[in-house]
Amino acid sequence: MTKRQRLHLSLALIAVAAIVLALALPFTAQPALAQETSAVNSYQGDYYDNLNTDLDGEEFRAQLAKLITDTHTTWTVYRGSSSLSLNNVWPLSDVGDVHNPNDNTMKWFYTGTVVPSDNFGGNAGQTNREHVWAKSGTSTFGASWAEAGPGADAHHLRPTEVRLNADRGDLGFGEVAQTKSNIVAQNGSKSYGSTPDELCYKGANLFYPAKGYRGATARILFYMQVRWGDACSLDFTDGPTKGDGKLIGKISDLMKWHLQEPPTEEEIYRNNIIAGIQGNRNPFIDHPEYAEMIYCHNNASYSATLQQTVLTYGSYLYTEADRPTALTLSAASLQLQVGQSSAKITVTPTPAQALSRVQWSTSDATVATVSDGVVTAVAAGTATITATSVVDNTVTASLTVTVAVDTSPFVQAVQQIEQKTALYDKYYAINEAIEEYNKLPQSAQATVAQHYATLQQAIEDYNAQAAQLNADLHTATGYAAGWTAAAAAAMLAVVAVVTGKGIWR
Amino acid sequence: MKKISVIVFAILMCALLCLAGCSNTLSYSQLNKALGLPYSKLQLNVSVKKSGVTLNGSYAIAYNGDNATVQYTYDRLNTLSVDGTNADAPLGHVTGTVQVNNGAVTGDVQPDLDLSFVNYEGFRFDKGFFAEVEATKTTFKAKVTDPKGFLNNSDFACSDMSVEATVNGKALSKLTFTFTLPDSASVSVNYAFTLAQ
Repeated sequence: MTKRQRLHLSLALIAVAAIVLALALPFTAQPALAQETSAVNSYQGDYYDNLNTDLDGEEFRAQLAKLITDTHTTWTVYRGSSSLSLNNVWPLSDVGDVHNPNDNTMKWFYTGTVVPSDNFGGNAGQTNREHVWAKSGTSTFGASWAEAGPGADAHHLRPTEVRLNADRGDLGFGEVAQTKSNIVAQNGSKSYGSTPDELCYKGANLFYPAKGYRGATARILFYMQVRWGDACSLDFTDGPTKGDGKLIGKISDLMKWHLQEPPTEEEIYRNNIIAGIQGNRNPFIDHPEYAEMIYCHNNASYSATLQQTVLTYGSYLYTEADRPTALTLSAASLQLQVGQSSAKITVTPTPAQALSRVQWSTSDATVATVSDGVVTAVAAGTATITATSVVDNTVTASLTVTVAVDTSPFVQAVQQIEQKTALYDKYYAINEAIEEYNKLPQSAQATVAQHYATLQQAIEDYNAQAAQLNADLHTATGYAAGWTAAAAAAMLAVVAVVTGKGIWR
Repeated sequence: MKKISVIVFAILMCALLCLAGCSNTLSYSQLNKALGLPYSKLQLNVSVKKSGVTLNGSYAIAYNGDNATVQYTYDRLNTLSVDGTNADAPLGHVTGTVQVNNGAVTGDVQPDLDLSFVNYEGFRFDKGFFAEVEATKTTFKAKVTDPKGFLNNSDFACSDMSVEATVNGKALSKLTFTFTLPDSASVSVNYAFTLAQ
């Protein structure tokens, strides 16, 4: 190869490397979007056809709950005959946990360890049935449903090693430091995985499954909360939990796992098997995006956190085509009076076909709040209203809102006083002006000093007239009663003190 | 005979004059005596009107020897303050009951209202105090030309005073007088008397 040929070859290699790098770079710093795996949105049936997917939050959850409850036509039982015909969930191999039907092995949940599928029992090293949403005796589902209904729902019963199951107990789920002391032993061993992510960990209140079972755990819990949440008061929290069977945390970790680990072929296989037995499906395996639609928008205390989680770890709802490069708001700034609301601020994405859906936030909620693009002035000051793309939280647009205090009601009330001639009318007009004045923030009161002086003069004038009339009645009564002048004068002196006005002059 | 006729005429004239002296109209003496009778109840209403506003006071006094019970209610215009909580309406009312025992007052005593006595006995009906007198057997109506004298109060300052009294037998049943205060407030005072049985 000549020197020239070597030079051309070098340039060609550099060009190829540059092209490869250019193709890879644009999205390396951006949040991940839906991974196009074969397992995501693979369901092709008509089970969900009647759902209104324009809804979100609690409204969407309610109709999904109705669907998976109405179609839950066969309730399995937890004990009894090993015959599947009696709907017993004891032979877990029959509800889709068989790993390899050819050699009769299965995988333990949480770890993925392959074991014989017929070694059920209550001893260490044997397989038992883990309630992923811990039943905590009878406290979670109640005595009548501990071994039926939610206590026997195959969607959340998974095979685990007896001692590992006991160690998980009623801990919530969340990320725990992957230290040696936190490793949860399986059949007494802490070396069932070759890398840290292939092991389970636990802290004081949380259990951290091995990689590959975290997303599946989350989807089981989402199913349980929708299917049995209303009947058994099951709910999520974003804190660690232990011992409270009805409340499981932490949902931000669960959502993260759900986004990081899309539904697996094993989950889909098992979902189809259980649907054939129970009649209902786990919708979060068939439609992973439903978890975002519900839990990011149900106005729970954790919803905003979950929206950030989705922005950080990717979304099942959005694709790359939804990602805007910029957002433009319909207003660059707003001038509002306290209590006033703006017209809805519209968002235009660039490119135009990108998604315009944003999260709204305010830099100072004591000055202005924002909801669904409508800005409401709270108090005098300045705040920045920001729209953040739900697809990419690095894409934002902002406007400044300046909130002023409307002093016109007070000014108009003072002007009304001057138009009143009758004493009673003056009283009402002055009182109205006083009320308007006291509504003004202190900073605004300083701006209406001239009108305030007018108000004070009106108060003085009215009080003097009122005091004179009160004194007239007193004087007349004194004359009628024949009081002596000295006594009357003494009494009027008291009146003067009481009213603050000298009226015997 | 002529002398007898003159005497008879003189007697007739005297009789006529006596009849005239005992005429069918109230005398000042009767009115003053009526003021001094022991009444068991007195209803006193005082009304002041100025600038389109009328304030009323009402006092029901029941006497029992040297003691008395006074039920009262009178209007009070509320004042305004920019700092305080003001009443919704301008007109307020002060209501209460006091007991007067030998001049000592107990009960709902108000600082600007002396209910220890109502001294109408000091009023004096005198020919020199009145003008445009219209009197009947039961009523007396006149302009008061000397209000200070009539009310026996040298500090009394008013104008356009008039009085109207109604008697029932020897006792007063009603006494009304009206006057105008120096600040042009119109005053109407009404007494209704009930004589002790």
